[in-house]
Amino acid sequence: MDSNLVQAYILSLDTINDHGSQDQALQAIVGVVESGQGSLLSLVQALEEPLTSDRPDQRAKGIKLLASVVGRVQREKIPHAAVKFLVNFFCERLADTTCVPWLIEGLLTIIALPGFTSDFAVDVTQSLFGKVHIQSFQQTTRLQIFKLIQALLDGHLSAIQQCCPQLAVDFMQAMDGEKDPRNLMVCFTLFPVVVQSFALQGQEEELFEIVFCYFPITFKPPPGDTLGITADQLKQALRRCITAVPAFGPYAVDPLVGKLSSTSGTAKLDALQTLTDSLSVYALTDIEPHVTELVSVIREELYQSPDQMLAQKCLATLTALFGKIADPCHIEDALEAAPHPGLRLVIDDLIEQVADHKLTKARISGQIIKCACQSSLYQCVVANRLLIPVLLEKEAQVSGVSDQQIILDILWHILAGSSTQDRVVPDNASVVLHRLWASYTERLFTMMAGAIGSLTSHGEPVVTACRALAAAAAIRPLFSSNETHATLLLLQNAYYSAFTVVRPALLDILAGVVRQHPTQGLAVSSEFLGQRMPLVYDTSRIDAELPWVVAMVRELGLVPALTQPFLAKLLATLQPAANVYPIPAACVSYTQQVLKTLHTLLGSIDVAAHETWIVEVVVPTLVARGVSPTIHLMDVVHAMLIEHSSPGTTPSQAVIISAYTTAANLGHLADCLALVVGGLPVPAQQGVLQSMHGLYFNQDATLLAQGQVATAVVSGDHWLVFDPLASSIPVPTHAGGQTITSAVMTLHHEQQRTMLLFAAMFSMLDPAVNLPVKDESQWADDLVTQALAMPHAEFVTALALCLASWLNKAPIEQSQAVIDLVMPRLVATANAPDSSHPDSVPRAAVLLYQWVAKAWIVRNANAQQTQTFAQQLVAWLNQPTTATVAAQGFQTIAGTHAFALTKPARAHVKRFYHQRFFHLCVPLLVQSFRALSSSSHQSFSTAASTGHDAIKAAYLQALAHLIDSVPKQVLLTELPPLMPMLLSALTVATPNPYLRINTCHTLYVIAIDAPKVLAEHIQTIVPTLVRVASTTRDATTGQPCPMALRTAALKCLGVLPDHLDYTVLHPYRAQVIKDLIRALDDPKRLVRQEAVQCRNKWLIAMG
Amino acid sequence: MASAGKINANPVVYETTQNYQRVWTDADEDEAVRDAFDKQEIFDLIRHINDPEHPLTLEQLNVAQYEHVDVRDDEDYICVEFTPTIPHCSMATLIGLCIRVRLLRSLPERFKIDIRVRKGTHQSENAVNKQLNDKERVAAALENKHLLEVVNQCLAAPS
Repeated sequence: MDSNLVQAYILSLDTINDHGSQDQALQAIVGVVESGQGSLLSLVQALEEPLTSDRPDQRAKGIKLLASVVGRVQREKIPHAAVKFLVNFFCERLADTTCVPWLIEGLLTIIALPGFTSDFAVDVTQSLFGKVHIQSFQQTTRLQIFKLIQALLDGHLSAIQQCCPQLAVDFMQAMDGEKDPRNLMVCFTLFPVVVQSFALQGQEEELFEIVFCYFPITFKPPPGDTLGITADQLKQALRRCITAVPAFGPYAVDPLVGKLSSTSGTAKLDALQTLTDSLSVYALTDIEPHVTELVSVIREELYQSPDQMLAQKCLATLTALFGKIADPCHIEDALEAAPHPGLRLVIDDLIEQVADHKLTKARISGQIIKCACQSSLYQCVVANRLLIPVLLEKEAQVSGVSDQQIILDILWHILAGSSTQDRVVPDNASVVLHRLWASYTERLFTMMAGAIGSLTSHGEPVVTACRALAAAAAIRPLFSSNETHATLLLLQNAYYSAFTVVRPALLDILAGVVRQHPTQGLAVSSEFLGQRMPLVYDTSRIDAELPWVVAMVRELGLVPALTQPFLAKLLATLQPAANVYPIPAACVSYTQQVLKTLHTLLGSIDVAAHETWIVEVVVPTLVARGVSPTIHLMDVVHAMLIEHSSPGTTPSQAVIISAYTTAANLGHLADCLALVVGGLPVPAQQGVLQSMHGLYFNQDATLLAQGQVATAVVSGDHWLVFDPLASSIPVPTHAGGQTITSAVMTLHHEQQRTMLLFAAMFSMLDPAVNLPVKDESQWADDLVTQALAMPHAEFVTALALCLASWLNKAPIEQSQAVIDLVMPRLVATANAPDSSHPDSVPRAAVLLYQWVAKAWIVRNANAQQTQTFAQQLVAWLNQPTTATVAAQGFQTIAGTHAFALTKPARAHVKRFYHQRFFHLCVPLLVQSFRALSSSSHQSFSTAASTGHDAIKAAYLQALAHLIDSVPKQVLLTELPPLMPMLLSALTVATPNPYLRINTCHTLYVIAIDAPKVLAEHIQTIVPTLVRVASTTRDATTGQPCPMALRTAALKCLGVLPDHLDYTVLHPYRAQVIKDLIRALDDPKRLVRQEAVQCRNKWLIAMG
Repeated sequence: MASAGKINANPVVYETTQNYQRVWTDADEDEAVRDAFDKQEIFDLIRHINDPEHPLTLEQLNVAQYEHVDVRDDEDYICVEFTPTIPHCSMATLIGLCIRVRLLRSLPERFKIDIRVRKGTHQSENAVNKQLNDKERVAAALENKHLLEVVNQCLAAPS
């Protein structure tokens, strides 16, 4: 080794800040070692002069160089022999205090080398504790030393255990007085390992004291702390130290109990948690003397403290304590043995409180007894044996409802603690439990059944009674099968007859018991539903209670054993044909509830287990319910005649032909269909496609036959052909008259609307499913032709969904070819002179265009293609005919559809396509909007002004749709240029409130996340929001302000005082408070609630 | 000791979960239906007011109770009776003032509002009732900045 290199490095260290030179010199030496021109041994030889110097700083520089080189040289370049040499070298020098930091650094490197053996670990450990006075070093060195000890123990514990038996004591000295949280974290991690692995040599108390002196930890990280050590981490680490070994038991329990009387809440919590943890470690003999005191202290804490978290910790500690004291007890003795004094204390308390009518405290004692029951079967038997008779007797004596409720509440706690649901009950315990409960079963059941019966007309008390009964049903040997059945009946009847405010709670209780006893639950609830769930057109049985029955189906149907039977029941209520005209609103609403519930339960069914049933029953039924009303010619004629003959009604074609074909319910049917088809495997999907394609494209009615609809779908007296894709349906030859013709037209339109069902099914198909047509591209092109030929919005949307789903999933070249063919045609149609088509045709073209664009953007489009699509849509925003539908296009593309083009629909979906589309569209929209605004300033005619307003509204609508579909972080990045547009949206003259509601939501988000941006426009925002919030019609713009808008405006207004500087708000405060008085008397309660909160925020806003 | 110096250092705390929660119906969303002011609405306004002494709400202490609210929307009249935790509670006037201020700030001006101590629950109920229903004395009390601050603290919880 060239001593000049060494010299150069040593000299560079004299220049403190010259890190460049130091690094260069060091790298040169490392290079020599790695290249083999010199060895570490030769380096040590070259270091002779500094290492043997009398000056400590020179020696330290020499060691630093060696440690740094060892740290930088590649591991494989250090031979095993060198490891031994280095270990010895470093260990020998550990007594040289000045060099210790660099020696530790070197050792930390060496310890990780492959040649470092357990013998070396022992040498290092002995030298470290023998030669280094750890406490005397600065924090960073101490930390390194603790890390070195940690690494040694992690890798070589058994060898060190054999050769360093006194390590626990040595370590105790090393960490004594340590205060730095970084060091303490390492020490607290090491301490349990040390005391568990090494003999404590009679130093248990000292070792305990060395860690307990830190209890309770009150550490708060300083402001701007970058270390990331939290008080919770330290507390948990210290807790592990205190509870590390049973030997600490004699010293720990007493001071921990003492800490429970601390005035600091966190100290109490910490002490309780530490006690809970320690109970599983310390010996019972150490705990026994403190049990009564501990129970007494915690009990008092529970009586006094309203703090929920503290109460929970108290109860957890008691559970652990009661479990611990039951350890040596035998379950066989539980029926006769006296309770432990600790438990006796609480049992006596409860008996006394019940006798003295101190029922509020008794309720807390009930919670404590629950802990005892949960802790072990032994304590459970003892507590129940002594308390159940007392409570039964007391319940018979009390007269007031509230007193009865408290007794039932206590009983509930005890029974809930005695549940056997999550417990293993050994055979001998099972015998004891049988003997215990045998004497109480009948009395308990009779008492609780009676209580439920008598309390039904009360709100909360009946919930308590039901809860107690449900808890009893969860104890295995307590109730027989008959009693469980009766329990379910009681709970079900209580649910149905109680006040509506408590029904959700009662339904939860019922569902809990059904989950435990699904077979009986199914039997009881099926009978109930048979009586209470009418068919959807059974108007005589549709009443105000029905939503509660449906809610019960929804909740209980989620229990796996009940899902399929309940689904079958729901499908059975979907009556095929209406027998009442006009269709009552109650039938439509009930059907909607049934379909929504159907959707919920279909989402939870195991599709694989019920595949055949889904394909053969569910799908045909759903399709038939949507389709069959559109072929019942005479039913519709009948409906139309009734409607037209009703006094005061004007004839119209907008007759509701069935409860299934309203826009909402047809949508629900489609959602259900999409859900079930999406879960099917490919072969089953292929079968479903085959039959639905046959129905929609080839008039093959097999599917309807499966869905229990008459098969005569050929033209006849009472039936029409189902042919939604035909341009028209011929009127039956033997029929005639205006009404019949009108009915046929209505039905054909309705048939086209049901195309949504086909689209829902088609959108969910796997790419591997084959279309049953010869030429798929031609089929796709035909869809466009048909959509443009019959441009009803719903029909076009359904066909667009089919087309988009196919384009997204078909082979990419095939899709590209169809897009290249279709898009120019759509653009040409949308831009065609208005004389050739009615307005609906360009709109249909724009609708199709946006779905095709979405299919491609979601799948594969590059920035250029996406830009083209976006520019085209923006261009259509400027045409009055297409403006609205083009604005909708931004939602179509940026938003997520309920089922189409999504991951569950097995579509090809690129990540973050929403965000990319948003970033691309914002500049286009802002730029065009500015141009539009400047041109509108120059316009003078009223008609032109109205047109401009409509186009402006379309722009703002497009923006609202875009904003709606991106995360707020993305929105905030684009905020400043968007603000003028957003403010325009608040005052734009459009009858559609969606835009303004959406803008209020957006301003709400901005107020929270970018208040400074909002503050710049405060003079516009506050008066507008107040105006919108406090009236049902905006006097300035003349636009209606529905409740959703008023609520949104108030919410936005209310958030301003929390996030904007008072100086910004002050000029408006008095006026806002005054004006909002009107909102306090709003006709709608929801608005008033929001107004109260909002006004209160402004009232308490002070400078 | 934390509880030293309090008028009632160890009040009884009542469970509040699920007690008298409004069940929202479709009519609440229907713009055509006018929702009249009812007991539940007024109780919801006052149930979360903080007690001046304890970190508990008036509902948790049973000071405000659903049954003790009387609302006659068509007559523009509201009466709220409250129950002090102990008969010699010197905070009764302050609690009553908090209830009055909350209702003043939250209800339209058309309502006449009476705030009273529940009959037989306070040794000076007449004096307290007189103070609480005297407009001028209430207005004068709210001129006091310190008192207003205390009231605002009691009303700080979300209504």
